[in-house]
This record gives sequence, structure tokens and C-alpha cells, in this order.
Amino acid sequence: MQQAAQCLPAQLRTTLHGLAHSEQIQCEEIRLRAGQPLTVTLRGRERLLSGREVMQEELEETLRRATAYSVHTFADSLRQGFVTVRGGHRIGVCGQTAVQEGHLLSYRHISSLNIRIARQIKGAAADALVQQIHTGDGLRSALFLAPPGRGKTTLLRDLARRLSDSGVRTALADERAELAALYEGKPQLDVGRHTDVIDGCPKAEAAMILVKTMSPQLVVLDEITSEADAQAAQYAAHCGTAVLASAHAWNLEDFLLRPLYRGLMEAQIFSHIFCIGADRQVSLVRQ
Amino acid sequence: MLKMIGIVLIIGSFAGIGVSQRRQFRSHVTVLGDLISVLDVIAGELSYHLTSVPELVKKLAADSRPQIALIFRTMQDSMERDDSLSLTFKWMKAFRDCGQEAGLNEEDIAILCDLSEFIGKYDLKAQQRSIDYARSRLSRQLEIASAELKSKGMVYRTCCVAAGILLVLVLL
Repeated sequence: MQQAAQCLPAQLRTTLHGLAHSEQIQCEEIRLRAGQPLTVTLRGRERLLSGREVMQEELEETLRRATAYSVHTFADSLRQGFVTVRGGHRIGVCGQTAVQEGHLLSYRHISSLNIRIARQIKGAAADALVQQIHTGDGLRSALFLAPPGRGKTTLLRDLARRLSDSGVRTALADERAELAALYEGKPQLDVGRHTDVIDGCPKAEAAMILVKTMSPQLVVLDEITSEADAQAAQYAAHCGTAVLASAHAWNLEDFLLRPLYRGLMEAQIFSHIFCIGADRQVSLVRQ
Repeated sequence: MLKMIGIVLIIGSFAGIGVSQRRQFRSHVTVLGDLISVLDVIAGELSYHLTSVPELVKKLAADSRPQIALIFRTMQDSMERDDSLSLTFKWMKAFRDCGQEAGLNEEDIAILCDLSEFIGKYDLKAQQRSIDYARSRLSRQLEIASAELKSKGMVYRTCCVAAGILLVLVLL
């Protein structure tokens, strides 16, 4: 949490010191809203921290610090409503926007920020799950379904790490810089010894490059959210590369209702589909 | 013999003053040229790599040209300090604190300080435009400095040597 809190102005950081060490370890999010006290999310529930209200200028300063005073560097991700800071912590941004020709141009005033704390949990991927994907006769493509906050990214990262360390040439299309969190070219999170990463590039483009240039045995795509992402997964699979991907959905029925994913299902890329439950248990829902 | 030594010392010291004045003009021209090339580097880094300002400053702090390194090392040190001061302030302070030592005049420093209102704050195009504007203003400063070097530099050197000779003649 300390690393994620680095982007906060000094006074707000001091407020966080009120959290017990055990709570700091469990903290999932730090939320800042203009005119409201700072809150942290612990075990899925928001908790108000005593202290003064967060000022709007502090939100602006937090974002400036998060973007290293370089709006141009983060312009594209800001237009998608987030920035990822060192360590892979993602900051969601809300506020008054400037829109041009139907597209978000910039934020004129920030009203709230949500700092999602990236955490590596080694062992998040159980042995049984790894064995289901890496069977004796090769790698299987798998899709993980869950709503936000259930640990899809953590699970994918750990699977990538374990498979990579077992000798599988792995490639990460890390569009949001959350899987590997590259900093000056080095992953801040352990993603395995045989892993190549493209960070910050749209997943579809990154996947194409990885398949063409790094000849991976496994491509990891976190959060398939667009037609292009789905096509990239199909492209990788058709090139003989196994694909590990995740998508937002409550369950398989919910997933199948979404038009975006129909093509993906028809192409039958994923031999295994898993759901992550509220208890973070991973269950196979289709094989 | 002593007279001869005295004559040489007087003329030599006056010539030295003239040469040092000329060197100041030359170093002004050099540092302006260097800063224009720095602006080109900044523009290139921004447009091609979307490099963040701290990374940019870190690169320039490692520049082999001492005047450039001096300014950007000072800026890098202040940026690494975790305080509540803005990047605009730190950028301006580095140029104000080190500009003169690096051989810049007040006007050059003002041009580079103006750039701080744009660097890192707006989209790429707006930053590129502000860099282009600063570049054209610095190029004008360079033209003036070059003209000064040609005219005044020569005058200072000649006048100082002449003043030394005159003093020798008066003393004799």
C-alpha cells in the first residue's frame, strides 16, 4: 500500500498512517472524493478514515504526481479513465470531462480517484488449475470469468509466472501495465523467467506483435473488452498459441448473453472456461 | 629588465581581460546553441517516446555538456525531493539558479522559464508548439549573441590590448 500511496500528497499519506499494519496489508483500494474524507476498501467494504475532507486541489495534485507531471505520457490511458503507476497500481479517474466529437479529450476537474492496489499473490493459481491448463499433451487455452475485484489479474499473473517458470515461453499483452508492471523495462511483479511483455500497447496490437516476433507458446490477455481484443485472441489461437484470457461476467450465462463474446465462443478457442466465485474459488464451468 | 617585465605584465593582463570578455560572448553563443539542441531533444523525446518529464530531465542531467548537465542536474535533484512544490516552480528555479552560471542572460532565462507553463501540462501538440516558440525565440537570441561576439568581442579584445599599451606609454 505504501508504494501505491506514493502518489498522494504528504498530508493525505499521513491520514493513511492511521491504518493498522494488518489493515494496510489487506487494503484493496484507496478512494478519494472531493469534499469527502479519504476511504479505504478492506475485504470489499469501504471504510471512512477519520480526518479532514479531501480537497479538490489534492485530487489534481494526486493525478499530477501519478502521471509524473507528464500528461502527454498518460494521455491515452487517461482518455480511458485510468492511469497505472509504478508497481502496477491502477488509478481510476472521475470528474468533469472535455469531450470532442463524442470522444473524451481530457478531464477539466477531477472529482474522485480510486487507487486499486496491485498485489502479487504467489500461489493464487492452485496446482490443480495449472495441471488443467498444462496437461501432459500440451497447453490448453482458458478463459476466466468474474466481475471486477475478484482477482482475475492476480490469477492470470500467477498462472503466467508458474507456467513460464516451468519452461513455457509466455507472452503478456499488458495493456494496462497491471500484469507485469514494467518499470524502465523490468517487471516489478514476478511473471516468470520465460516471459516477454509488451506494456501499454492495445492488447490486439500487442498480441499480433508477440505472436509474430516472439513465437510464444502461451499468450496472456487480461480483460477482453473489445472486438479487436477478441480477434487478437482468435489470431493467436489460430497461430497455434495457447491463450489465457479473462473477461468481465458474473457467470457463464451472463457471459454468453454478451454479443461481443459470441464470435469468440463460436470460434471455440477456449477449451476451458472458469468462473471465479465471491470466495475467490476457481471453478471449471465449461470444458 | 624590470621595465620589460612590467610592460609585458601590463599588456598581458589587459589582453587577458579582453580575451575573457570575448570568451563570455563566445560561451553565451555556445550555451544558446546547446539549449536549442536540447529543445530539439525534448521535442523528439515527447513526440516519439512520449517520455515523461522526470525521465527527460534525468537524460539531460547526464548530458556531456557541462552547462546543460548543471541546469538539469539541479532540476533533477529538486524533482526527486518529495515536497509540495510544482514542476513549474522547479523548472523555473533550476533555470533561475543556474542560468547565469551556465552563461545565459536574463532574457534567455525568461524564455526557458516561459516553457514551464506548458511542459508536461497539455497534450503533445500544445507542448510541441510551445517548444517551437521557445526555439524560435532562442534562435533570435543566438543571432543577437553571434552578432555581439563578432562586433563587441573583437572590440573588447582590441580595446583592452590598446588600453594596456596606453597605460605602458603613460607610465613610461
